[in-house]
Amino acid sequence: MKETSLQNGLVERYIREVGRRLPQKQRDDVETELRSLILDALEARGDAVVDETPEEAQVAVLKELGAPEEVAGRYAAAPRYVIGPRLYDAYVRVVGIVLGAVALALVISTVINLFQTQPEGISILVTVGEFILQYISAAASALGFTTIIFVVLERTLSEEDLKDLKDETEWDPRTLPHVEDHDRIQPVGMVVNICLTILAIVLFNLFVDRLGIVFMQTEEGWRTIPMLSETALKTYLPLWNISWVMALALNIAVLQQRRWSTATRILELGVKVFTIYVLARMLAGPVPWLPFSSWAGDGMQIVESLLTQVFRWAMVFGIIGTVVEIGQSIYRMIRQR
Amino acid sequence: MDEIINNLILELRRGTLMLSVLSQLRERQYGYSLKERLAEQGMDIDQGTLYPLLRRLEKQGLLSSEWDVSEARPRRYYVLSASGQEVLAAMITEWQQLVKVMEHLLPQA
Repeated sequence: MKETSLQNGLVERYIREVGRRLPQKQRDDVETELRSLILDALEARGDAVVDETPEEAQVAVLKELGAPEEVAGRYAAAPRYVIGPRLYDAYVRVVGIVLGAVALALVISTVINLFQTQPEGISILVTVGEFILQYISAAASALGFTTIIFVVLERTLSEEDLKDLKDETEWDPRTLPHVEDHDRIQPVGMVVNICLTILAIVLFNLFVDRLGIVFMQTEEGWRTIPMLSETALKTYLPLWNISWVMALALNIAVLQQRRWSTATRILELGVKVFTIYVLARMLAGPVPWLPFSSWAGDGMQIVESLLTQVFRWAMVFGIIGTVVEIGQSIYRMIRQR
Repeated sequence: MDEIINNLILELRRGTLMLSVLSQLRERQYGYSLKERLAEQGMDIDQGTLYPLLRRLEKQGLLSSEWDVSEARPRRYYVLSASGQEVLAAMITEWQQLVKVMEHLLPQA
């Protein structure tokens, strides 16, 4: 077969397809070798197979070699993955740190912004929505930049560089983390929980008038100033009572069983869902304390307004935290099945 | 099941590929002659796998190569380098030990 007849044929098209996927410095050399090897194969095939057209022979030889992208991939020295196994663990760790740092920075800037603008009611929810959108956008950018850095490192770090970065201390199995038993309970903690819940029920239902700040001692004894708003209490106390009784029943049931079970986990989910409802009512409703002006005059307005913001945000973070806890509980329950 | 068997056979052969290639390069060979030589001895290797492998072994310093333009068409010849010979000797020792172990492990057919 004449080599010139191949110039515009399948072989040349094949070599170009392989070559254009290779780095410039090895392209010419590989192309020349590949051309020579294909011609060897065609020559051998011509001797072995007689009733075959030149095109059929070329198709058969090129098929045997494999698709251009696969062959080029085998020639290419660069890795065929974005981030390989040698850097993957470090990449995951760094992504975790970066996303955490972005979240922290945004929380701080949002809180500062809130203190400056002091939004009320629905504006708080708008701010929360803006926070979430900002986080998604910032997290995507941070993730992109981190990935780009690791892609570059994957292609520039040699094995020697990686050896220098690796911890050379001998690995000790005793440093392995303990297996977490999520169903095991801490009896002391649960007893303390039960006692505190009973104390809260008793205090808020029987001695609510005693819940105040000690102001001064007179001849008649300590004079107390009530702090809690009666209106707010009337709204919230029934909800708190239901929540406390549910928590009490749950803690007693778990303590009796000595371990968490599917039934108590489901009950716990119910308590948490109800907690979200209570927190949402408190977020939308009045603050649970009396206006400061009723006992301190007008001088405490700034403090009161600051406290109100802190209270509203505590409710928001309480709701977010409880939603996260519910998600974790459901995930754990699904994994255990 | 057939697919699993085929994949496992491929894995097994892939492990012997480098040793097979090095073993035949005590004398200089160009890509196609090496492919034919291996095939004659029962070791069929895809050309698309063999030719890039030769480049990688050369890059690792186990082979050296040169273009020969004295024939009808230019051909790149590969041969074991000094370090390639050293590596081949070590690999042969390792292979022989492995064969002994496997003969003990596997039931006689």
